[in-house]
Amino acid sequence: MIKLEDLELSFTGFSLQNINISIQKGEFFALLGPTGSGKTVLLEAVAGLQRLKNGNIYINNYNVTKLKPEQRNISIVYQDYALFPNMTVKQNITYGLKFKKDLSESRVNKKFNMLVDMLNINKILNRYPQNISGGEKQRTALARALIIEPDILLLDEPFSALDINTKEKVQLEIKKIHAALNTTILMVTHNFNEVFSLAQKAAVIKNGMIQQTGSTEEIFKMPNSKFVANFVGMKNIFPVKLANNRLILDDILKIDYNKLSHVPGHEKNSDYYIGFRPEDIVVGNKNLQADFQLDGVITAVTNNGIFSEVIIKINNLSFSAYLTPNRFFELELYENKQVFLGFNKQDINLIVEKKEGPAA
Amino acid sequence: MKIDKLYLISVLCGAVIILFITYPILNSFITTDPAILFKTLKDKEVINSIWTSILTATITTLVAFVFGVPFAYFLARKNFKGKGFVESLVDIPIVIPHTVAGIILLTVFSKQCWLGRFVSSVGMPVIGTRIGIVVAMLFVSMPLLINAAKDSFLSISPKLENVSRTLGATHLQTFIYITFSIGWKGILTGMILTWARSISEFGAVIILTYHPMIAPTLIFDRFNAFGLEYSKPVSAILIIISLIIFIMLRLLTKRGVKT
Repeated sequence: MIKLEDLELSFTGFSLQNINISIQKGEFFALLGPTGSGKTVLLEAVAGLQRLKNGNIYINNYNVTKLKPEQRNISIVYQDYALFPNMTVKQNITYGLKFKKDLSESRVNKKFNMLVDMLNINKILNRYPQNISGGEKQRTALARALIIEPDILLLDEPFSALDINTKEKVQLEIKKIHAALNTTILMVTHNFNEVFSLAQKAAVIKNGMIQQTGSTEEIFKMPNSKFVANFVGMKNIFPVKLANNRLILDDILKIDYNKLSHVPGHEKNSDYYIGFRPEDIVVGNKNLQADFQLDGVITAVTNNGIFSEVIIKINNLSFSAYLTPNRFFELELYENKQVFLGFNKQDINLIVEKKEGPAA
Repeated sequence: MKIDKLYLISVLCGAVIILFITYPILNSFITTDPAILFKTLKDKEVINSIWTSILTATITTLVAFVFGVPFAYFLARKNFKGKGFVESLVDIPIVIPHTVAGIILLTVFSKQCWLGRFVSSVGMPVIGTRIGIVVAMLFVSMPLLINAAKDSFLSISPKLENVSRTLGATHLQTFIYITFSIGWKGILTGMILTWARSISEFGAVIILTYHPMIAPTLIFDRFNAFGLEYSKPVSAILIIISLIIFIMLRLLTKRGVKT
């Protein structure tokens, strides 16, 4: 088990504050945040590569805060793989074994063969990193990190340098490895899709502070702030007023507060927002069968081949809706067309954010 | 094929530079009397001075390596208050005239200064000895090795070192297996520059140590005493030996890995 307790770290212009994360043995945990939010620094702090100002790191209930990186039994795979250019793929993979005298030769050989087979890198063992593809580099870096049997594997944006096809393949391989070896993994990424496809639990970080921790499902379904909601793909977030147990959206929508499927706890001095996922909004040319229905004008359409995005303006609010290309063509949608949009109450997310500044 | 004008200008500039460098060298060989050259080759004083030059330049390079590489690594990896000032201090010997370097070294290593008295008391007098030659060479050439090694370390991602540490290597093991193994080419380039700068040093050495003579001092001495005809053969021999060693070392740096 890995426990990060009240971690604090700072350097000029940046700080990590009050980081508390618990990762169970064998769990795949993701740390999600935008560029510059402190994700990689946090990973390096866990590995002992950054000096902490405060806090403790426990691995299997043992306080490793004061230990050097080489004493922690933690492996890291960087975004750019950081393969040693002066060594072949095989030498890269076996590098860590020079320093791990406690692993028996037969165990090491078995592990080496297993990893090389599992990651399909048998044919490139004698090549240098300069002469292999991005996907092969990623696999080599994974094998190198896993062969020493780390207590925790740290993955720093592992897919950001890969093309989409390789990314999908490597994602599957990481899933397979995680299932087969039951390695505890802490991955940092800015892409929620990666979190959703791989991790069981996640934390969202912003400006060096954890915003929300929970299962990926919880974070996806119940983001606790506008920032988290936005980050997990909830594009339609609007401020609402609360009056007589009703949420009022700009005179176009009134929702009975008690009828929402998820009602977060709230305080007096809070701001209220409602959010809908673009994929939960239905669009049509006539009346729709939905709990709530509004009508507006299309102001923009984009198509990325997998889905079409339609922006519909109602009063001064812009709603984003995703449609399959088939549905898009079937409805014959175009800019300035008048359409209906609908959504159901279970798809409405209420976000309650404590107001910044002094209480009113 | 149409020739790009800019490239044409570049090539012409290059040709002038190459001519500027090679013509005086070739001319010194062509105009040297073979009989005098042959006689010079057997001259013990010449052989001794060339040997002293090579020996002291090599010792200088090794000393610069031992002290300069760890310091260069520190400068490449750590940020601290006043780093720019420390880097400027390292570069000072590059900008001050070498005769001035000789004067300031003479001041501190003479018996008028505690340092001079100290080194003499421990049996390592600097003035008028080979140690003095090394000190003078080291002062003017060490920045070249430090800067080359620092640039080499800077070109290696610290992430490689981080990965090595997490895989179980200590900081020193990481430096040996990763940083030095990858960066040796840049360090070797720095060593070659240091050696070349040392073997060509004259201004600082002549003030600190006239005797025993290094080759440039002997050339100056012969020129003063006997004129151009007798200084040219020594110059030619020094050029040949220096070039052979320089080319051999350069060939060594051709090997290595991309980082």
